[in-house]
Amino acid sequence: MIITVLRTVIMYIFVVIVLRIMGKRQIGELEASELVVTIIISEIAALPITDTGVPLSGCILAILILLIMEIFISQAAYKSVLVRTVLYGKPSTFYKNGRLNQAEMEKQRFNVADLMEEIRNSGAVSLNQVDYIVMETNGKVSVVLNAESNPLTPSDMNVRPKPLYMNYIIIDNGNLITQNMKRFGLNEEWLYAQLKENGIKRINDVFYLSFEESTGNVVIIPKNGKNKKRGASK
Amino acid sequence: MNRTIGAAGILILLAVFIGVHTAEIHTLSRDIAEICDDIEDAMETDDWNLICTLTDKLGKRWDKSRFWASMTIKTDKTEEIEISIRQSNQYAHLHAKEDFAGEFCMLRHMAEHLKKQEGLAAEELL
Repeated sequence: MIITVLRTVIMYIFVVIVLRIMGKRQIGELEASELVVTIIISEIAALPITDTGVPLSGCILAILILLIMEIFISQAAYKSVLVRTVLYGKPSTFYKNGRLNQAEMEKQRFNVADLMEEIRNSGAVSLNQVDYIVMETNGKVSVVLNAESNPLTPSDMNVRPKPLYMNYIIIDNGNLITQNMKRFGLNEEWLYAQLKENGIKRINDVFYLSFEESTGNVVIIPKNGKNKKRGASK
Repeated sequence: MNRTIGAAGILILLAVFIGVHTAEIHTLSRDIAEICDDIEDAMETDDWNLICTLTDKLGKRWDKSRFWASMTIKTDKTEEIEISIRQSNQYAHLHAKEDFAGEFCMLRHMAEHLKKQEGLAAEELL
């Protein structure tokens, strides 16, 4: 029984590492080849856990081979349009310039109900409000609304809104993110000054502390406390 | 690019591992085949002392490469081979010729199959 426990722990750590090495694509929208690799990896990983007679090393070897193949193939797809087309295919356009491509819809087994569902998901209610409907290579459907149906944007009104700046986490649940402090040239002296102003003594008592790029605004939320929000100078 | 270099590094390590493993299994299979040939010769002359010595040698040779063999062979298969070695050894000590011959024949076939399992035969591939 202890072997099963150890094997489960080993395979869990190993598969997590493998998926991390494969990259973010592997845990987001998957292309067909990536989906296949992910399914095979999960199947192989389950084998030595459920059957202790199956050698662990053989399964690790198989997963490593899949990892190598996936990395090399995705690298080739990144560099070559031909490889990308062969592996991932091309997007399918279902609707363009007021014309519905029924042949393409039939080819992709995409029925009218699916079409309407995607239109509604995009915020429209009819084809009249749409310019393009495209099925991407990962199976996701993109609906491009026409100019009349697109929400009004500040540029339509000739308004220039203030730009948004990224907020960076300095303290995450009592953990200091020194990397973000260094990025803005902040030091511990500054940090403790912020804490002191909010009546907090220790870093460990802070649940959330963020620093806004450019404006220098600081948001502090103490652990089990009330949100305190204020502007601060660097 | 770092990821590709890392993958190439893993590939090289895997190639080395597969090479070492295959060589180890082939050596094991060859050594076992040699010992088995000697046992067959000894059976013809009914030299049970020699047969006992050789079956002991067979067991020790298997133990030496057990780690490598169990890396890719299912546990029940490796146990089958080990039981067969022990059983052959027991029959040899008892001078039970007929029982020994049957067990030894099976052991030999299993040992020969090791090489096939690790080799690149079309039958194994399919």
